[in-house]
Amino acid sequence: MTHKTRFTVLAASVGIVAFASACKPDLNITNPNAPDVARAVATPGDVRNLIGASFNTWFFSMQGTDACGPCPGLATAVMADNMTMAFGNFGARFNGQEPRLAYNNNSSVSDGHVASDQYDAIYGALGAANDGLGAIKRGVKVAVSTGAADETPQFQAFAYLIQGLTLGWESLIFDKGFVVDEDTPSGTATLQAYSAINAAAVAKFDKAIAAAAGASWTFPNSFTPGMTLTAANFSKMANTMAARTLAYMPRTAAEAATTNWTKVLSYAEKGISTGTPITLQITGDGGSLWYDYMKYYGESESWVRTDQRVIQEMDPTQPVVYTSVNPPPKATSADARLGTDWTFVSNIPFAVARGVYFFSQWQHTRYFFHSFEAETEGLVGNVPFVLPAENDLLIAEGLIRTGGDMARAATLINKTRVGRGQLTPLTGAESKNDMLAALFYEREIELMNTGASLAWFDRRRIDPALVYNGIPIGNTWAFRGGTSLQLGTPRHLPLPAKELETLGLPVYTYGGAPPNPVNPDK
Amino acid sequence: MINFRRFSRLLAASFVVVASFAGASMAQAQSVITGRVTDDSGNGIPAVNVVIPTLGVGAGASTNATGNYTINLGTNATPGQNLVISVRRIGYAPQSRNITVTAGTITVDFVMNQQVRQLDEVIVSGVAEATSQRNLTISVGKVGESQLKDVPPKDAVSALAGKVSGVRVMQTQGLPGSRPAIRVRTSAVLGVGSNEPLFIVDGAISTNGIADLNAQDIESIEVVKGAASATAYGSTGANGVVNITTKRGKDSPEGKVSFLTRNEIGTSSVEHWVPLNKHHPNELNADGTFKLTSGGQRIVKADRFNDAEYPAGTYRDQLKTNLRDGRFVTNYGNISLRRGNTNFASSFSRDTDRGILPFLNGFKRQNVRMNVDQGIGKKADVSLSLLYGLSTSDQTPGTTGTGTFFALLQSPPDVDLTYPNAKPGCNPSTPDPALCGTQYSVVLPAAATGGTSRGNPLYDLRYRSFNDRRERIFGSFSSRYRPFTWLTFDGSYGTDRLNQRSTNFYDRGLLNQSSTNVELPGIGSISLASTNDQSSNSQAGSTAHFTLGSLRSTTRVSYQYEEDRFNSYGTGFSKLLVASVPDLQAADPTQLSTGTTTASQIQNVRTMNGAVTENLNFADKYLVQVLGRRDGSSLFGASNRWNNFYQLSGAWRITQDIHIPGFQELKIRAARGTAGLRPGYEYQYETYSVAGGQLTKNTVGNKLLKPAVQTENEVGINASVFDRFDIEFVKSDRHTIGAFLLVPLSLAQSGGFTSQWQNGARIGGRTFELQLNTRVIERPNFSYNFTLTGERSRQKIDELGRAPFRVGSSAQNQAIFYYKAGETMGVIYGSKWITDPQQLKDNPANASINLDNYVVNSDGYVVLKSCLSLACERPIAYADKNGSVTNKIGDVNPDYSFGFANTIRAGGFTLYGLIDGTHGGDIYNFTANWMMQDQRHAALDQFGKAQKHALDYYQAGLYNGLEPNSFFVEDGSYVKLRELSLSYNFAQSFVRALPFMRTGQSLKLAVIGRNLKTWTNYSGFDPEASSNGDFNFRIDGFRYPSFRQITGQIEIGF
Repeated sequence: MTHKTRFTVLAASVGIVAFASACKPDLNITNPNAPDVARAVATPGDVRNLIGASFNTWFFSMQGTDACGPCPGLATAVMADNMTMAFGNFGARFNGQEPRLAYNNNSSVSDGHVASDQYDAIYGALGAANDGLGAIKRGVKVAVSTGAADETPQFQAFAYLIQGLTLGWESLIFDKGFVVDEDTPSGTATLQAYSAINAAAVAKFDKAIAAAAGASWTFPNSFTPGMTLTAANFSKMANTMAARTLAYMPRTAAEAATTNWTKVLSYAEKGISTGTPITLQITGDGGSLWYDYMKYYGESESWVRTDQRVIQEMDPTQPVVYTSVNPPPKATSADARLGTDWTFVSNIPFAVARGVYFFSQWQHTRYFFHSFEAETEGLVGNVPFVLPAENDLLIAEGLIRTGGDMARAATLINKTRVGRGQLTPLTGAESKNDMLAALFYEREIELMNTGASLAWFDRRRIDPALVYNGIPIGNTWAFRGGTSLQLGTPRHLPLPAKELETLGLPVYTYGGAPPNPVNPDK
Repeated sequence: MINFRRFSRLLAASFVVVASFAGASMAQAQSVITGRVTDDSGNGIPAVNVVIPTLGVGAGASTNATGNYTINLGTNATPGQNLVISVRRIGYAPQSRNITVTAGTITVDFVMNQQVRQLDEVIVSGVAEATSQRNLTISVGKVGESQLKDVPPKDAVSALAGKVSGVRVMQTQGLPGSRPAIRVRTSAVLGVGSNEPLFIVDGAISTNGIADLNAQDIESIEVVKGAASATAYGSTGANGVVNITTKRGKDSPEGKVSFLTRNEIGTSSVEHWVPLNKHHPNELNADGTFKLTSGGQRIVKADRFNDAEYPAGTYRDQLKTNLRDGRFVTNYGNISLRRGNTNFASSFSRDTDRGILPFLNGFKRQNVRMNVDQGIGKKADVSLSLLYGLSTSDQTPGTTGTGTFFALLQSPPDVDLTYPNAKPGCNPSTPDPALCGTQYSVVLPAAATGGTSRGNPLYDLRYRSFNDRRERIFGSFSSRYRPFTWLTFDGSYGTDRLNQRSTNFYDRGLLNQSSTNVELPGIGSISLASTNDQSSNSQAGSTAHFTLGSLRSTTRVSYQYEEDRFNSYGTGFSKLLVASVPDLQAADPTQLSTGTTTASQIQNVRTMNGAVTENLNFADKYLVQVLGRRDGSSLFGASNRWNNFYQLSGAWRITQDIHIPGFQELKIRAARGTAGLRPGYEYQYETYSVAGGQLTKNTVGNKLLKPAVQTENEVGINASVFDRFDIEFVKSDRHTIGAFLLVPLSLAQSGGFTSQWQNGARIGGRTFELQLNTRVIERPNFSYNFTLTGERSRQKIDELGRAPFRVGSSAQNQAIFYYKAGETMGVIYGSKWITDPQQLKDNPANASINLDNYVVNSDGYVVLKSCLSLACERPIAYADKNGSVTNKIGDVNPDYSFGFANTIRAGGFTLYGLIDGTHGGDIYNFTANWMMQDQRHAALDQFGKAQKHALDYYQAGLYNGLEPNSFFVEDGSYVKLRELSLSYNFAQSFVRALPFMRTGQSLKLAVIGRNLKTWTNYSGFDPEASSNGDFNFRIDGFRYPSFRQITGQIEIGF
């Protein structure tokens, strides 16, 4: 065979292979496992889903995320000596150590999730609400499906509420953050101080309240199981959350004195305890989508105990902290709730070597049904994150701090103080400080393990002068050089190291008492 | 649109049809080649495979008992035509000879030398067609059957350990059924994706690993080492390629059925134990019992030293007490036949590996393999390779992480785990429930654990029902058609199919595992999971030869189509309504387990590529290979669907030109090539997570995503000297551009998206490799040879397109490795305890401290003098001038690694030993780190120490809240006697004199040891520690320890 023939045959065979190669198969494959933006917000039903689901994300930012468990809430609860736990999980032991250590703002450690998970959930929920509002702006009508009843007004109002909730939560937990909404061009937001974010949040609540005014819609409760948000209830929720956002922002007692309490009072007066009271809560679905990690762990005796500081408030004969392995005599209290909301457990699950200051024999069990130690394996039932009592106490605090109707304030505090605690009623004739002391006591006991981080918000703003039942509840740690919080306890969290690294900013932190590294705690 | 899967199959099938017609039209033989094959003593060698490769399977024969053979050429070869005739037999150097066909009988005799020479090996990977190592321009390592027969490897990856330079194999855990991690040269990934090379078995691309392949079926393994050599594998070649060929029966005697059975039985046991604390720090009563608080807790002595002896008879080593020696059995049978145009080989194997945990049956596997080659006429042939494997395991996945081994290592030594709540007076031989509690209690007594909630590892092993069943069909079909002697068409279809399902059942009524309701019946749980994967690769190609004077050209054009269809689903419930019914219907429908338990996944992937290879050989002196390949894949971003790869390599066989005394061969070669890694399935997509019907933002899509592309430059020298040594030295420099990274985003800035997959990094690597194969002594009754391999690799992150980050993989996500631009890959960061008081002054915050207040303790760490041996004694973390306490504390990269295999044959005896190891390279001993918490590690044991330290020094100081620190960085150097065997081959005359052995061919008895002895200063179970199979993650965290195996083997051939 000549070279020419060989070449012809070769060329023909190359041609066959080239022909095969040229018939390109379809290399475009749609990912069937997760939708993209085009599919996520393409239809009225998608936008509905997107906005609705953002509440779930925000709820987890507060009560605990899947990746971290009850991290944010439990870490702040131990910082406030409200709960105690000596295990290394969830940042509980690290942030509860005495003397205090600076918050470990480190993207490489599991405790780094304490800040980063809630930070991400906040902006995740906010991003979804903004996307939903953007779609509405572009003219997408929100409905169950194309052609179904138009639900745009309630979902628009709900998205404003989410904006308020997320920005508000950012301003309460972190020292700074970004204010972004549906009008912020991508990547243009700049960092702002917590006070500016707080103001932005309140403005969003105002938009939500205005959007619900006079409306007759009801928000579908599949997105907020446990609550039926009629426009009226929705408005109450937005008002309570606005009051909380304003009232809990102060990092010190001095800042609390400058808070606009008139404005707090005005929101709270339209809040969830007014008219027919409603509870802000979710209904657990066994762990699928709706559950509250703070109750799941916080009500389990083998994990978390109520800090001895709280027990001392109920029984002034108790020490504020264990000083040896030998427990003090079992606490007794005039407050009936020690018997109804708490359970005495002789066993202490924590290692002696980790410090007896972690010790407590009291387990909070008011929401035990939601804990994993419950027979049903927990995560079921209605679990509150804001009780009507909290709104009552916000009204009472507003009245006391603005010099308002003290008798009414006493009545509001007595609702649970007497109604559940069976304690001596306040008359309103007590001094302002005595009224505030009783109010903070009530907040500690009645609101225990409802909304996450409440005790930390309270401890940082409580007046050091307050004394309750002979206990200096505003100046508990004076004997160790602290005040309401132990010396060196962070009063807000830094931006998570992960976020700082992404933004190319230096990593910083707060807290730490001698002899540990001390950073300004504010 | 053409259905390409179908098209490819049709293409492959059409070759068969064409080949059949071609075969049918062939006329009968006219020319005959005959001859005798003898050894250097003139004795005929039986069963030598004599083939004419260019004429295919049918053109060949085997020698008979006297070494004679005959091949009828037929009309395929015409008088005057030049052919190459080759002889091959295991244990002998193959030979080839050029002949010119004449009419009638041609006599061609061969004299074969014993031992395989490295340079005589024939390589099929990464080249246009089968090529002798002598004429290779790229780096391909090969392990032949002669290197595998003395100690049958446990798996195909183990078979490479210490035998191929540049290939590192690490048995990172001993879990029965698991296989070792492997890396070729350096990493091309940054903890994202796998370091694993591409595995191909008989032409079928493996998508589900090769753990199901029985290593006894392997004839040879070729390793293509990097981009310079693996361009033919395009976007899957950057980690190297492991190409496995299984036994095909072509070496069997003509016309006879050969049967071989090999049975091995032995035990597995732990060789090296983790050191444990044998003392305690607590106060005792006068009667020798523990003094307790009113709350039932033990009281720590005032000095807080772990130096008190346990009450008589209560201390036990929980590891040695509860781990057992496991049985290891393997039965293997192989039948092979060679008759005319047909090769046939089939095998059956049954393996049982019980492992070292009590109560479990471990891993069981049954494999059936069938390989058939059929020549069709003289111009075509077809081959079929098929494996069916079925394996089961009852080992819960938890035993690999912080489950069983965590609990065992943390168990207090004074608790009988079979009676953990035993009170004084409990006699296990006649247990009184009042004193001994419930057998296998689920949680250990709080007093003994110091209040820490710890489960009983035995309870789960005893009662949980776990079953993993894996079914694998893995095979290929190929055909070749040679219309002309210079042209070959080939087509092939390979497929890998996996069906896997697992059941995890914890019966209702078994004890509650939370500490509140201990000893109370629990509500049970059940979960099921299933995975199905079906992948295929179809290929069509043609190879053409041209000769122009002394220049020989080989051109290959090929097209390949790959498809992978994966789906998985799983579900589970956390409560059962009925006991003893492992059925989803028995579960409480409201208690669905979410998260990873209930989920499903579908992944379809399509890839196609075309390649052209040109090979030029000038007089066997100057060799050049040029290769281009273009890959299109659905895994690449929409804007970068097609990517090109190229290779240029050349070699000069100097000794063909210049005579150098003592050198039989000297070749220098150089190659430059590119190869890639494909993105993961989900990388390119913009995703929202969907859970419970609700959406949350996840990753931003990346339409620009490309394969990571490695470019490698390689130079090498191959030499054969003094007729005894084959030496290869290779230097490789590589960089991988566009290595994958999941780049985190600021959610506030991205509108809520958390991250994006990007081609974000550039990784550099340099490797020096040395391989020495020898034939030191070769005499008829005695021979000694050894193989030495050595490697030194360095790897660096050149560029990083994101903020520096910590990464790692272990329990509790200990991110101890730090990735930043300019940093060596595999560097450990953490707290570094200072060893010189002067170091304190580096931190300006310490400017005013008095160094006289500090002292160096017996560990070499600086502590406060006033705290020495007291509860306040703590090591001090080094802080730099900025106050940062994060420092470089270790580097996992060894200085070098090596393998040293020796074979001595004397008479019928063969002694084989393989030693391998590494020098340098650190391991982070996370196991020891965590054991500080429960005071279980031997470091806490103060008994008999001159300077004692309180438990707090360890439990608070060194434990450091599980934050990485320098105390737990250990030198990972080791030397391991990995394989040792002594075998005796009985003479055939002796075998045939035995009862029932009249047709016996061979009888071999062997004693075999695997992982017999490790010499190391590392304190954990085994220095072969890494997490997630990533060689850069040398972190040891409560792994199932790899174990020593000693077995006896009997092999009989008929």
